[in-house]
This record gives sequence, C-alpha cells and structure tokens, in this order.
Amino acid sequence: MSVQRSTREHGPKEQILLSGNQAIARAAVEAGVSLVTGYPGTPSTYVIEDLLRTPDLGFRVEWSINEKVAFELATGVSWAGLRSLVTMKMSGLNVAADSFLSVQYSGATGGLVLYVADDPNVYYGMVEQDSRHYARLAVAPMLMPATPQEALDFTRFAFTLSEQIGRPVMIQGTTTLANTYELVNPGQIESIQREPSFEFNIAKYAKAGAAACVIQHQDTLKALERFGILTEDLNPLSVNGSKIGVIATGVTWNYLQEVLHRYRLKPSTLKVGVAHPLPTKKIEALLSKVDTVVVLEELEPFIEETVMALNGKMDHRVEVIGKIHGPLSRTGDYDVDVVASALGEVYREGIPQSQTARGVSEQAQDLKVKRLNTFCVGCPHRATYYALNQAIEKLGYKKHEVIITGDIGCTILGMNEPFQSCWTEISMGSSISLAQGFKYAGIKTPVVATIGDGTFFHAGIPALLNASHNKTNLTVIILDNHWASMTGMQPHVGSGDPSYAEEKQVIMVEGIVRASGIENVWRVNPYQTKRMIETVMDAVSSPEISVIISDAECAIQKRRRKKGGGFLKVKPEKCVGLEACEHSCIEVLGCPALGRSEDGKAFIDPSICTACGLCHHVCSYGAI
Amino acid sequence: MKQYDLVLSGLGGQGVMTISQVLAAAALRENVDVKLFEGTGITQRGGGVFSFVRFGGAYSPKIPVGEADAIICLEISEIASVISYLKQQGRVWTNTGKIHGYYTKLRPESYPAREEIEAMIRSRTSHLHMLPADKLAREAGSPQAVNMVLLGAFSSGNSLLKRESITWAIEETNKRFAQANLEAFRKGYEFAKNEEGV
Repeated sequence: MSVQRSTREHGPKEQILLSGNQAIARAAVEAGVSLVTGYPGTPSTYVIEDLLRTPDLGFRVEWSINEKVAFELATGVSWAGLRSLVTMKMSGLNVAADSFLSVQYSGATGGLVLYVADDPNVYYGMVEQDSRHYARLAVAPMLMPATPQEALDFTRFAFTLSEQIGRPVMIQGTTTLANTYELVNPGQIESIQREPSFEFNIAKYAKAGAAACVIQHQDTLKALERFGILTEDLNPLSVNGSKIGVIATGVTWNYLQEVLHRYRLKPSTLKVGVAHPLPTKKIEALLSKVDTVVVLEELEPFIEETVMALNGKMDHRVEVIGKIHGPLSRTGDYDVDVVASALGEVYREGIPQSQTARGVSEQAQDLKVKRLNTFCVGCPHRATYYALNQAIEKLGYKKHEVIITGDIGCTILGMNEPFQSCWTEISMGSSISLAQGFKYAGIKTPVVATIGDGTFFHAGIPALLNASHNKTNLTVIILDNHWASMTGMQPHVGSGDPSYAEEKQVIMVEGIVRASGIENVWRVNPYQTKRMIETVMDAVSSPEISVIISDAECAIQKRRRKKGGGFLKVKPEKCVGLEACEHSCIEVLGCPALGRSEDGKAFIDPSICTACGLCHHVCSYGAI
Repeated sequence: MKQYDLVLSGLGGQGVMTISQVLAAAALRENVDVKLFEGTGITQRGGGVFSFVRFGGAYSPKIPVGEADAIICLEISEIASVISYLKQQGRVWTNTGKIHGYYTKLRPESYPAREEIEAMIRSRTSHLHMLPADKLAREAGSPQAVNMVLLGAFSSGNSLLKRESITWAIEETNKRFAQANLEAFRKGYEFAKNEEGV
C-alpha cells in the first residue's frame, strides 16, 4: 500500500496512514465539496497537492492567484448553496482577511470551511503568528484538531456545522499536525446533489448600509454561540479528585498524553478542541475543583488569558502555570520535553529531568556543518542575481550603495551568500512598493526591486501600477521562472502547464507590464550573462522606471520534463586551484554542482550539472 | 509490539522521507501501529532534514530527547543534528559519506573529522555501524540509493520488521526503481551482516 496514494481510493472501515493535511483533503472528499482552492503556502500546501494527484475526484480543485481571490471563489460556491474548502498558510489568511471578515458577517449557505496552517517555530518562514486571534476578530467559529484523525473528523463535521449555523468555520492546523502521519479511519463519502442558486438579499449580502452591518454583526455573534453549544463534545472534560488540572489544545494534547502515561500522572484534564468560542463553562468547572492549572498551547496565551479572567471571577484562587508568568514560551513549538518540564513545576518529584542528553547536544553543536540555503543547480535566479551584482559593480557603485528589495519565494534566496543581494522581505508583492517608498524618502542612489512571477501575479501588480502612475525612478526585475517554485513548483496564471485538461489562458508578464504604461521593458534570458549584465546596467542608469523580465524556466521543472542535456567540465590544467583563485567559481556562484576535487581544483558533478554556462562565464582562466 | 522509536536524518534530496514512508508502509503490512513526523523545512534548497518514526503506539509524533532506540543517518555530519535524541546505548547506522556545502567546499578543514564525529557518537553508545554507503550504492548501480543501502543495513541488524515487509514496501513505494532500490538495499544488508561478525 503506497502511502502517497490516499483520499478517494479508500473506503470506510479500512485504516489508512494519513498526514494531517491528507486527512483534511479526505474530509473535503467525504463532505462532497464542489470546490477546493487556495494558494500554495507551506505547511498547508499539501492538502491541495494531494487532491491534485488523486484521479476522478468529481469536483474542482485548483490553485488561485492569491488567497483573497481563493476565498472569494469559495464564497461564490457557498452562497450558491454548495460546499467548498479554502486552504492557506497563516500569511495567506492575512491576505484573505478583508473578504473573510466581511463574509463571516454575511454568512455561508453551503458549508464553507477555511483551513489555516500556523507554523510555530517557523519551519517554513514568515511571521510566527497565532491565527486564533482571527477567530476573535472575525467572530468566527474555530476548531483545533490535535491529530490527523481529528483533522479528518473535525473538518468533516465543520461542513455540517457551517450549514447549521449559516457561517464559515475555521480549522486551525500547525506544521506538526500537517506533517504527522498516523493511522486514520476514514468515513463515508457523501454525494451532494443540489441545484445552485442565489437569492437577492442586500441586507445579508451587502455592506453599504450601517444598520444592516450592525444586524449582521449581532446575528454572527448569535451564530457563534449556537456553534459553541453544538460542539460541546469536542472539549472533553475529565475531572477526578486531583488538585492539579491541565488544559491542553492542538498537538500539545499528544505530548501531554505521553507525559501522563510515562510518569503515571492523573490530573484532571480539559482538552480544548474548539478554539473559539472557548468552552468557558468547562474551564470554570475545572478551576472550581483544582488548586493549580497548567495551560498548554503553542504560541499566544489565548486560552490562558481567558483562564486568568475566569480565575479572577473566583478571586484568583487557582495558580495558573503557563506563559504569562512563565515558564512556557510564546515562541517556538512544543514537544514532550517542554510539556514534561512544565508539569515538572507542579509534580516536582514525579518527573526527572534528562541530563545526559544535554551533554551530547553541546558536543554535537560544535560538530554541526553550516549549510547554505541557495538556489538549485541551474536555477535562473542564480544567473539573475549574479548579473545584478556585476552590473552594480560595473556602474561604479559599492555593494551597499544600491538598495535591492526582495520578495517571497525562491528569489529571496538571493539574500544569502554568495550574492547577498536582497536586503528586505516583507510580504507578497511588497518589494516594489517598498522600493517606491525608499525613493519617496529621498534615497538618491538607485533602488532595485526583485520579485518572482507567481508573486508578481499574486500581489505585485498593484504596486507596479502605483509606481508607474507616479513615474517613480525604479528598476524592477521580475524573475520569471514560470512556476511557484519554493512551495513545490505549483502552476500559476502565467504557467503553461501541459497537464491541464481544459483550456487555460496563460497570462504573459510582459503584457501586464507594458499595459501599465512603462516603456523601458526588457525581456532577457538570464543565462545570456553578458546581455543580462548590460540590460541591468541600462535599466539602473535610466532616469525612468524600468522593468526587466528575467525569463527562464525553473531548472527542476525543466529537468523533469526533459532529461539529459549536457554538462560542463573543468580543465584541470587551466584551473589554478581554489586557494589561488581570487574569484573562484564556487565562491562567486555557490552552485551545488561545483565541488572541490582531491587536488584542490574545481570539479563539476556531471550527474547534476545542467550546463547553464554561468561558471564558464565566471572563470577568468578559461578552465571551464 | 513494544514501542520502538527511530530517527532518520540526512540532507534534502537524499531520500530520508522515502525510506521513512517505506518503513511506515512495512509496519502497516505487519499490523504494527506507526506514527511518522516529517521534519522538513527549506530543505530542498540545501538544508538538513529529519524524520521520526514511532512504532508500537506512541501518543506524541515527536520523539522526546534521549529516548530514540536508533538513528539512521544518510550523511555523516547530519548525525550532529539528531544525536541528542538517541538513548544511552541506542543503535546508530550511518553513512560515512560526506556531502560538502558552500562553506566546506571553500574551507574543507571546517568539515568535522570522522574521528571527532565517531567519538561524539561513542560517548552515547557503543552500538555504531558505519557504512561506506556512497560506494555501496554506486556498486549497486544506483548512486542515488544511499538511503536504500542504509535501510538494508538497519534491516539486517534489527528484528523490528521482517525483511520481506520492507522489500515489499520498497517495491510498492516506487515500482519504476524497485529493482535498483532492492539491489542497493541488499548491498547494505549484506555489508552490515558481514560486519557483525568482525
């Protein structure tokens, strides 16, 4: 049984190994959705990837241009009476928030479930935000599964709940949940046969009247309350005679179970499966029976603050152990040791600390090899950032005289050695507007914005139009490798993906750029190094806004479609050796295919070299 | 079955996840409960990757520090990232092969010596198996199948799962490269088995 195949192929009563993300994908299948959409954002990416690899789903699954649009598509499906699932990472929720908050007030007809994946300990980059706060902000119900089985069951239930209360429902996941595989019991696959239709009701679906908006708000609060009643069982409370209580939510529940079983501890426990509205009655019931309560949750003291407030109503009779007064942290993720340590504060004799492992980890730290996150072999971005740095040098600027803003995706690897080109990274599309802002501040030296193609479509277009309209003197380099690569080479509106079954309109970056009125537009193959350097020099020297589209396909995608092709070789008789060379190919380019042979000369790994030619250009000894 | 916790580590692209999935599939074939946690990050672009495979009914997907029964490591320096998970006298199977990165290509002396790494492991356990897996994979005809070589070595020294379950899972996971992977697996199995007698 391959664990890569999942979702539709297995029926109920047959346990299958699923990850948290796969379980959510399965839930959408079981719920009979009509649409699953989102934007690539790890750790949520694999929900849609899994569905895209599953044949004969019978419903539409596709990536949207950004999370806001994805959410609006799902809203259309929901308001027409059918079910939909939207997936995104936490940064994506920030993008979709405007529509999400508005739709939460208007409501859902067909079940609308929003899966957002947070990333405690930031395995994948961006803000370590606690998206449970969105549930408060949006007056939105939110479920927090602890295991892949719960991810399946809660998400499945969420579609029903969404229809029962007439509101979108959030599912909160984390990296740990998404990347944990366990044996799961799938359920029956439901078939939804509904005629789509939409009613005219501006009091519900529009926001231009103040009174209507306030009424929508009131109705949403009532819907939230109903949700709390319908989901009481998702917060199991277990009170015994113990004076110690533990409240845990999400994956921390698993760590707690491990600690309790290992050390044979028996506190009273409350598992919080509903992040919003919190089960305040059950929290109060627990507090009334214990002297000490430990609150286990990753990131913010979201539950702990409510526990403190309820404790306040009881004259602070309970000692609360959590993050507000320590010892637990608001940053990073938890594991068994973190939970054991927290419980150790209460069960002082019950939990020994592991000392010997610490000694080894110190020794191990010294032996760790520092690794560089850089572009893949043959990546066109390597060629672009190399040319950019060269152009700046040839124009007579020192490295830190020219500000280069960076953006999300593979392009941001330009911030690392050996290029150290990108100075900033804020959010999707912000490279261009930040650059414009630097110019507005009066920075006299050139400012260059670098951005990928997927990112440009996602959010860069308004920023570019804004810069063009204001005739700001900027250089914008759009690194167009045709795919959303960092998240796993997903297609976007500019990708010509041959696997598309239907006709898709491929949208050209150059067309959009020219339509914005910018005249200095060049589309260059970055592997043509000399021409690329000259073009960047022209663009940077120009007193007008200039756009370079650095156009070459992602090397990994190219290789997948077309195996073979040549590789370059080092002529050892011409190579002066890596120590003697002033600007060695390895140092200047950092290409993983470049290595060091026994005699200290450069060496090219023929099994991975893609013959992009960059090292040939860089070598001043003609050795490649 | 009693609980058995296994940590796998290596660099992105070496196939740590593939053999983790193979082990999980093999466990399921024998009706052994299994939990798997994939510790990925920005690994495809040159970083380290690890996974936890927990057999026999664990609650947490993550293995506590100092509790793992064994470590399988595909690139020798990466053992440093996960050694603290190993229990005292736990077992280690590691490739002796190195993959150089940007910094160690420029300054090879900054790559830790094999002796240092070995000493660090031996301060925790005497059950250390070191394999020239790169060479064995090449001899098997698949230089990329270092992961399968290590899996073979693990299988020979471990009665956790039947060899047939693992070889079945290898075939199931990738039919196209099944023969190549099985050959690499066999090479690792034989090497480790012969080493036992030494």
